[in-house]
Amino acid sequence: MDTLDTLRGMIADKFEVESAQILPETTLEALGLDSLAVFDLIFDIESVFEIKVSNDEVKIVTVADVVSLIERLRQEQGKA
Amino acid sequence: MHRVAVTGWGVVSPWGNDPLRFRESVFSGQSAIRPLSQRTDQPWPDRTAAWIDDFDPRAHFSVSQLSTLDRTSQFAMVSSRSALNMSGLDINQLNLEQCGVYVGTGMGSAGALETTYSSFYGEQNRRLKPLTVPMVMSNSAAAHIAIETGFLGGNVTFCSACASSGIAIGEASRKIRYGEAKVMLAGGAESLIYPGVLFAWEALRTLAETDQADPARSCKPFSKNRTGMVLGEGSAFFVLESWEHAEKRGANILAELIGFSSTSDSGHLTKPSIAGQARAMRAALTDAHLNSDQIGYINAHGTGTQANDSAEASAIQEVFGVDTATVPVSSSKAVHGHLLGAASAMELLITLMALQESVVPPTANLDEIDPECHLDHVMGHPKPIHALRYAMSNSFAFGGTSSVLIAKAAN
Repeated sequence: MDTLDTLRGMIADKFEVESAQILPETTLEALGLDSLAVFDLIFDIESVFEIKVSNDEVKIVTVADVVSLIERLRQEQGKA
Repeated sequence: MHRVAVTGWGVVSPWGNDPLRFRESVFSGQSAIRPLSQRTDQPWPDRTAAWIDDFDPRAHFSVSQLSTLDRTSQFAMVSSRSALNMSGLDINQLNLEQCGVYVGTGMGSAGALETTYSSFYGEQNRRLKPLTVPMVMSNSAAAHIAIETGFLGGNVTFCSACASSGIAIGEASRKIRYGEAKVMLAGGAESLIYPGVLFAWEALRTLAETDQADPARSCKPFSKNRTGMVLGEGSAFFVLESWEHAEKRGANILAELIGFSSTSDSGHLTKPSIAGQARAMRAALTDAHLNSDQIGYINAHGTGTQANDSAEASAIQEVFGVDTATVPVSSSKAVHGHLLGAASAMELLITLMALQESVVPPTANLDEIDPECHLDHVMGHPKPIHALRYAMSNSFAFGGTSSVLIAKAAN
């Protein structure tokens, strides 16, 4: 399963939104995620993708931003 | 000064969330107390408690809501929603700046805190959940209710042990009396049946010994053979409304709050003070402009500990006269246990239900009255009182905080 699909499943389960609504260009805000919900999502992302997200990297707006962040950090942190 | 109407109530209890079923259970003396040995999930002291089994958070909240809602906040939200629903208020028709939320809780989000510490110290987990702080903060329940209702006129949490919700309700009623608010959601919530909390209470030597013949009868307020208190959990909330606001919209007024006191013993951290309790009852009577002989029922604090019950009986005698045979007294803690921060709210609910029907509940498990607790005890069965008009509900907390509420029948 690729990063987008995994992420889509995580968001759908955790925030009870339809997977079909979770497109790369969709903003997290449009999915109903506020700043606290984003922190909560990042916590799960760190566990699932075995990465560490530092505070200054938490600048993500769209689903695609999250996917790029995950893939970049997996590469940099030797998990890819 | 404005009169304070009660126009809605809600409850979360071991008997469920339906106020009628709650009333029936308490008034018939049906005990929710069970031995903790029934639970094998964790280490528990060999004691009893009155916990709630069938509360399903997912029936009330989304997964993401639950990431910031401790069980205490969940209870508070469910019972406050019920109260608001019962009141028939339409939030869209309210001036939200004149509406507030006052909540009492003793140990706040004890469950979330215990889970977090258990993870940190027990499992050496250094990755704590990001929403731990907003979930654990003691004012979380009030904040969530304020966000959900949009009430803008204050969201305050009162933390004064066993008097917390009495003070929350009393202060909310004052806010209406002084004209600062038209509508207040006020009540209490507590969820503390967790092993760490229970062992701490056990260490204080306050928990009742399990009645081996019938564990459900372990809490015996005012009884000669009482051995201590039993902890419980749950929530009760009220919609308080200025009388004119309630009348104008044709609300069903359930009762009137007419007296409140909040006083301090300023003596000992845990030892009850007869003088302090008497002072609190007198202050509430003064506030209600009543003489003691006008009170038709007292819902006692009645925890079932040696120290509380004899002190409270002496304090009642001091205020109501040595011949107290004219004022029926009972403690419902014998069946729902001690809910600490939610105790006053749940017991005010029982007091208002008594006023509504002119019938008062008994103190269950009271077979032999302690001679040191000489009062007109309601024993065995609910007791009809002819034209019951005024009732008092007592709460006396560790820390020396006392709170007494006086209510009047609506009709």
